[in-house]
Amino acid sequence: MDVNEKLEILTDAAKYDVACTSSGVDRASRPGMLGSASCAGICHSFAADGRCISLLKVLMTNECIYDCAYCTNRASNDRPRASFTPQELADLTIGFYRRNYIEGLFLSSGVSHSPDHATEQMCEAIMLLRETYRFRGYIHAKAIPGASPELVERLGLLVDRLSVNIELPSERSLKLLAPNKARRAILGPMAQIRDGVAQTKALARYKGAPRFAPAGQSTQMIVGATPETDHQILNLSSALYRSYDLRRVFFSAYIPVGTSEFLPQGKPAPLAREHRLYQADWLMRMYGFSVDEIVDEAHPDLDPLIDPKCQWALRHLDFFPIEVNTATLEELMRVPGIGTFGARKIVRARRAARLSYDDLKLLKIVARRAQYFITCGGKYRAGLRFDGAEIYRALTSTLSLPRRQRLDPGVTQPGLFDFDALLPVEARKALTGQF
Amino acid sequence: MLTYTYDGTLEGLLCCIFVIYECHEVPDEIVEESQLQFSFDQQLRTIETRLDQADRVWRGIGRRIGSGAQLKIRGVFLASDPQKATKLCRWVLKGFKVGKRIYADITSEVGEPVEALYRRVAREQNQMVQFARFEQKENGVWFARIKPEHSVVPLIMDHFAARFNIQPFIIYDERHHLAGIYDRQQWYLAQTGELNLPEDSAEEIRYQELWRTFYDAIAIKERFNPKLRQNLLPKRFWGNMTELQHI
Repeated sequence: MDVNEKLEILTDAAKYDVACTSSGVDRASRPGMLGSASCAGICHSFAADGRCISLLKVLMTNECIYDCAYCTNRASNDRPRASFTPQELADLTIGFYRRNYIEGLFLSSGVSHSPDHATEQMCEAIMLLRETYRFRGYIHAKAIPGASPELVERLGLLVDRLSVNIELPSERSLKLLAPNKARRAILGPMAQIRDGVAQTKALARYKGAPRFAPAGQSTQMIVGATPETDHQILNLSSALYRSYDLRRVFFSAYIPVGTSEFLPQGKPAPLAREHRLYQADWLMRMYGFSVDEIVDEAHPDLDPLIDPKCQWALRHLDFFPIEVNTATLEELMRVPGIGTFGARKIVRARRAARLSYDDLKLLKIVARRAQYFITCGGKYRAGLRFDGAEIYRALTSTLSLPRRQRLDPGVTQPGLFDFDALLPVEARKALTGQF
Repeated sequence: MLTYTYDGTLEGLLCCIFVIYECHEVPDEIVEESQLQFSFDQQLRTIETRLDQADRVWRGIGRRIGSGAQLKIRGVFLASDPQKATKLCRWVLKGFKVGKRIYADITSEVGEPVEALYRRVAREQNQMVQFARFEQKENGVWFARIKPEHSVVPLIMDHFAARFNIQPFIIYDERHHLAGIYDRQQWYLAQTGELNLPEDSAEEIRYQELWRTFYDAIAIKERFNPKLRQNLLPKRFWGNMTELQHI
C-alpha cells in the first residue's frame, strides 16, 4: 500500500476528532532547526466543512481491538485498515510543514495490539521528528487509556499537548457504549498529565529544561449520542477545568457511524447544540462566568434560539442596562453582543472621547443584541422597551424559519395566524396597530 | 485647494510633514505624483524627498508620540489606499499635538480611518502567514506566490525567515511585483516584474498530491458547509493555494 492510500485511510479515520488547535505554547525558532510555535495558534486552511486545518491530523494506525459503539474504527466495523511506519509519518510531517501547509502534527492511534504498543509506536515517530529532524513545530498527541505511566511520561516530554478523550459525558453511557474503556483508565492518565505539567512548572530552573506538555492537556466528549442534559455536560467540563487543570474541553455532535441499539439512529445530533455548548464553554473560560450562572436544575438545557449570554442577561435584568461610558471591563464583557475584543476597544476608545451609538458603530460593535442591554451617554436606544419578554421576542423573531429549524429541529412550520414566529416585532406592531 | 505631491515613499511623506511645519500650511490632500489628478481650483506643491528631513520627522515621531506610532505608520503605509498619505499626515499632526493620547483615539475622523487601515493591513498580514504555500524548486529554493490586497511582504518576512531558517526561499507578491528573498543569512526586498523560475522538484509534485488527498479526506461530508469555509478563507486566496486551486 503506498503512502497516499494510507494517508487517505488514516485521515478519514481521524477526522471525527474535533481538536485541531495549535495553541498554548510559544516557542521561538532556533538557527539550524526547522519550525516554531505561536501561542495563539495558526490555521493554515479550512476544510469543506468549515473546520480549520492547523495540524496534520492522522492516526498512527486504525487497527483496533476495542469495540466502542460510537467509533468508526471499532473492531466490528468493516473498514479498510492501514498503519504508518514512524519514518513515513515523520517524512509527511516535515514535507507538509516546509510548504507551510501545517503547524505540526496531531497524532492519535487505534489500539492495534495493546495500549502500550500503540503508545510506543507514537513515541517512535515523534522521537524521529524531534531528535533526528530537530523539529520545533507543534505536536499534539493522544494518550491511550490503559498505557503504562512510564510511556505516558515519555510521550509527554516529547509533545506540546497531550490529551485523553473522556469520550462520553457520564460513566453509565461509557459502560454502555465503550465496554473496553473504564472511566478510571481515562481519568488516571489525566491526573498524571496534570501532575507532570505542574511538576515541570515548579522544577524547571533553567531555560532548556525538558518540559512536560507545555501547552497542557485537553479532552473531548461526544454529545447527542447519550441522554445527558446540557447541565450535566457543562458541570462535568467545569469540574474538569477545576480539578484536572485542562486547557480545553471539546464537544462533538454525534454523527451516526455506529449501529448499536443504544445509539440514536438516522439523524445526527444537531450542530446547534454543539455550538451553544461551545458558547457556554467560552463564557466559563474567557468571561468569568461560573457554570451555575449558565445552566441550573430549573433550566437544565440551553435555549437553542438565543445564546447563553443572552439567556443569563434576561434572567438578570436588574444588572442592566449598563452605561458603556462608565462600566468596567468585566461589566462590559457581560453584555450580550459585546465580546472580549469589543469590550477592550470600548475601554480604549473612551479614554479619548465620550462614546455615542455612532461611535460604537465605528468600533464595529454590532448593536443587534447589545442595544437592549446598554445605555450610551445615558440614553437607552429610542424605540425599545426594557422588558424581558419583549426583548426575548425581539431577539428571536428576527430569525428566519429555516434558521429557526436549524437551531431547534423541534420547530415546525407556524400556522397562518402565528404572527409571533413569522414576523419581526416591528412589522407585527405595524400590522396590529400596537406601537 | 492645496495639494502636495510626493514620490510615493514613506520618506517622501515624512518630508511633506516637514514642509507643513516649515511653511505653516496644511494641505487638503497629499497624493503620489504618479496618481495625481488635476482639478480646477488646485494649488500644487511638489515635495522633494530629502533624507535628512525625513529622518528628523521620523525621530520626532518616536520622541513625541512613541515607537508604537512608528510601527503603526510603517504598517498603514503598506496599505493600497490612494488616500493613505493624507490620512496618515493628519494622524501624525494630531499625534504631535496630543502625544500618546492618539493611541486611544480610534473613533474621531482623524483616528478612525488610520485605525481601519491598520486593521486591514494587520488582517492581511495574518492571512498571508496562514495561507502562503511554498513549492520546492529543482535548485533547492522554496518559492511562494501570493496576491495580497496590501503590500504585506515586508511584514511577513521575519516570521518565515525565523521559522524556515534552514531553507532559502522567495515570497513573490504578484500584485505589487515585490519579492522578499531569504538566503539563509538575512532577508531583503526586490522590486521586479520578471521571474525566471526553475521547474518544480520531483518531490514537490508528490507532496502536493499528498496534501490534496489529506485536504479532501479530513472534511466530514455530513457537515459540508461551503459558506463557512468561504467566510474564513475568502476565495481571492484560492488561486495560489495547492489544495483549493482545482475546486
